[in-house]
Amino acid sequence: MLIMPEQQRVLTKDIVSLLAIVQCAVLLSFVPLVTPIIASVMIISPAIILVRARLNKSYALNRWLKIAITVSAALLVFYEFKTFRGKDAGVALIVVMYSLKILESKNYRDLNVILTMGFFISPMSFLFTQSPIAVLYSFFVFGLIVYALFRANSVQVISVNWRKSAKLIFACLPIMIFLFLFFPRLSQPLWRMPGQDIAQTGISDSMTPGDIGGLNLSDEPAFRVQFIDNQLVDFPLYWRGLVFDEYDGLTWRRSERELDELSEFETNPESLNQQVINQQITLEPTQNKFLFGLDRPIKSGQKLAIKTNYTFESRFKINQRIKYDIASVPDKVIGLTLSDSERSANTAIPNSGNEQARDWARANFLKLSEPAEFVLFLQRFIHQNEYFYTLSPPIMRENMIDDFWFNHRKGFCEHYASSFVFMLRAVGIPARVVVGYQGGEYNPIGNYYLIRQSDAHAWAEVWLEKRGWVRVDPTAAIHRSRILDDLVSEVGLRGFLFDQLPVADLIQVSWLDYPRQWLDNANRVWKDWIIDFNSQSQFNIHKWLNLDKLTKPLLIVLFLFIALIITYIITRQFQPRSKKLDELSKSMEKLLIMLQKNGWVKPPGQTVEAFLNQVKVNNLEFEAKLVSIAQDYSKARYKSDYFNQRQLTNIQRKIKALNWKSIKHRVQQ
Amino acid sequence: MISSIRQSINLKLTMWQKKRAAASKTFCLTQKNTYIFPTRYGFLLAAIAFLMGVAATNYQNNLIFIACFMVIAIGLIGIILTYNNLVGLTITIHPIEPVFVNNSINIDLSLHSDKSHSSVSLGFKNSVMHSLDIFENEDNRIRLKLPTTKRGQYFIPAIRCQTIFPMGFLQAWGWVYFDSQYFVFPEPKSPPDSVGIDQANDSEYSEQYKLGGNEFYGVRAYQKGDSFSHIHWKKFAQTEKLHVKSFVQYLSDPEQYDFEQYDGFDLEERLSFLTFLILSAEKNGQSYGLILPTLSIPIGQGEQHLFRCLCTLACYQQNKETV
Repeated sequence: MLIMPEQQRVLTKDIVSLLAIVQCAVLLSFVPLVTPIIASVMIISPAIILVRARLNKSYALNRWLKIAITVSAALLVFYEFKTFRGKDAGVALIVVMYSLKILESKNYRDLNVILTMGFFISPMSFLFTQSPIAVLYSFFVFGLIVYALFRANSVQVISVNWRKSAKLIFACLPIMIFLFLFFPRLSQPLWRMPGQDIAQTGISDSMTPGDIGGLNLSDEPAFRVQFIDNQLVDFPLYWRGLVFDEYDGLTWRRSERELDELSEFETNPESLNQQVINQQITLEPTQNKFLFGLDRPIKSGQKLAIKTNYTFESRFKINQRIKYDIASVPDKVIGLTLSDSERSANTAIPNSGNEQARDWARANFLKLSEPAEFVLFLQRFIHQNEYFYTLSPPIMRENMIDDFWFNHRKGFCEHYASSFVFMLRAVGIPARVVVGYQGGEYNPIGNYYLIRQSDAHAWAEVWLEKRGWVRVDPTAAIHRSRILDDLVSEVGLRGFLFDQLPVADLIQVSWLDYPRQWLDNANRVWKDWIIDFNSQSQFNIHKWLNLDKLTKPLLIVLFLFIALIITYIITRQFQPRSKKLDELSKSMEKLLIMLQKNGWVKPPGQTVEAFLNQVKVNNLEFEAKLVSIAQDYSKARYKSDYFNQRQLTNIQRKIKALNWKSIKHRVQQ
Repeated sequence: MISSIRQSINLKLTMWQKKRAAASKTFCLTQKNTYIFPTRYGFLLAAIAFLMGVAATNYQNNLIFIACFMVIAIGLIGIILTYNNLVGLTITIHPIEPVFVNNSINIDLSLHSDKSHSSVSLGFKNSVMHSLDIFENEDNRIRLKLPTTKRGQYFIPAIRCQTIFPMGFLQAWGWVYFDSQYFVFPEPKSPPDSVGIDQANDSEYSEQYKLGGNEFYGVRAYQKGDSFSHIHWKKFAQTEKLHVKSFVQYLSDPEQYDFEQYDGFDLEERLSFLTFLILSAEKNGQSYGLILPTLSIPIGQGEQHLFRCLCTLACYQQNKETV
């Protein structure tokens, strides 16, 4: 066959339809990620080409038509996103333009550009989804691209099959893993990419309960916790996040006051003489700085400062999954002494508004006089009166606490916590709202707790003489019967009831839960080892291999070199037939020598197969074995497609297994 | 200036490649004489891998890193696959049939290997490439054509053997040198019927003759290069102009074709005439010989004799002509 210069090599219909299929496969991973309009726009051109190529019709387009299509596609993207900037619009534009490229593909150059660009376009979907399935799919797409490249660069279609390209992809895996583990990389972005900000999820840094008409709790994981040394948890799982101590009548906030860090004495676990719980927390990105830990956190493994209100923050915005260690002492007494400024800050309520609640609290406090008793009174009040727990409370904007406490009596933890704290502050008892998560699902497979966004919770902390800050959960005081039906399961899981403080549920693993937990565990492993692998983990590996003293350029050269060696070893697998045949011949030679020693000499001119078939050793079993070896040998020797390493070892094993003692030495005539 | 540098570099390169490729009838592509370099799609792939690395770093996205390293791995494996697709190939050249000028030389090659190779292309420099698949332990034949423009005896120019299989990201190539030679015979042209005398002169001597020989034919004006022994001194005395006696040899033995017969034609044309004459003589079953200024071939007949004559004509003063 003649090879034309590149520009003149026109694509055959077969190759064009293969190209369209590859392009469809590349674009398919974007379909669930973009709007339906964009999705249909990007699939349409390869689909048209595919159909026309199959129908044997020409797919040449007028130049002006092509320009018109390109411009209108770009306009459509602009219409959808109102911009070309940012990750979503940018990727959509690139993908749509890539899909249009096939309309003008006529020669070898276009084909190669489309296929090679496919390597780039396909992984762009990882900007939107990081599931293992997406990775597997992109490997499949890579295999398809490689197959198309094989086809495009070969003279005869016969010499290409899909098995070869699949083999190539599998051969790439060890090299890829090696580079992934060792190839030096930067821990910080080179520059900020547009569109890296995503919507905040989970807990925000303020709380306005009256505004919320319905709370949509998502089942998304918030974080996962592994308890380092003590598996048995017999304390309530309250995960402390933020402390809100400022209230303007509508919204609870963190105060602006500079808080001190905990003293060395307070954070020293030995000095506490109490049970210390060490946890490792893997936090999903929150786009905020604050971190969570089991109430009450005292010391972080990453030397993060713990403030005097027992909250702590990361130094950076958490825009990717992070992992940190935290030590907590659940029974720790905190804030035994309260400074005047602290006291006034934690008893401050707006001068006006919620008059009814204020008066009611003061009147009832007068009857009791003891702060602790007043706290108990409030809890009992919630328990015995018609207070409901619901995730779809009415909107209460004006005098929210009055409205909630006396009229609607329906709400969720935020309503209860804020009313509770307001009432305590109204009578001069220092109190504050603590926000975080409560509960968690134990995963026995991975031995960790999964805390979901739906576990978000708000509770109260009351300062009592000689007891310091005491955690009180007013929501837990609601009577079980008044937890509205649609939430029974949710709350049942948490089990926060008055008579029994919520305990971590070591829930029974039913057979239905098992696959779900297994899946979450697999998910965690995937995230820990693949998605969260970073320069730090890499450095640890380097350190483990004592390579941390080398400079980065040297490391890059070293690892590329090693990768090349691995590549060489792997690719030897691709063309090993002649070597294997050599080995096969050697084995057969050995067999013939053994036969010769026992008196059977192969006459020259006779083929090995024929000789083996007619050797008579007076042992039928032995003869049968020889015949089977002969068959395998001829199959290996003359049917090139069927010869592989397995067959070689098979024959070698058969030769080795021959029992020479079972035959008698033949006396030479 | 630049072109002269480029020329000298090219020359050096050719010499270097030639040194690494021992010429003979059989040529084996080994690691010593096979070269590899990315094609422009290879560079595109490298650029894409780099871009993916940047994107992965900027978005701190490990999955894009995975894809990036996958692409690098595909490229690395591609290097070795492409190289292996060429190394190990043994090329044997078959004897080359000579041709007349302006016809194409057919060069038949046998490609042999103990493994299979896909899409290997062969061709001369600056000409189309032919490609074929090579099956293991089989005789894979390919015919290359080489156009000829000048007669003579030539060495086979270097044959480029290349492949971009499997992925087109890399090109492996080797220059194959053979020590085989081939002949390009002069183009046969029928000589004009009467030569050597003035066409206007309506001579009664219409029989065939040729210049030279020893029979007196006439007197003509002296021309440069005429032998002094032929000067007609008597005529010089009369006219004070130099004349030479021209002698002819009447073709009593027409098989001996003489180069000098076609006085006034240039070298190439004379050789073309002689080629025509010996070909037609061979065809008619006549015996023939050649007389050239520096050598002569005795009368003979047969294919071998014809071949000898044609080769002589092909090579006659070849170097003078080409220099």
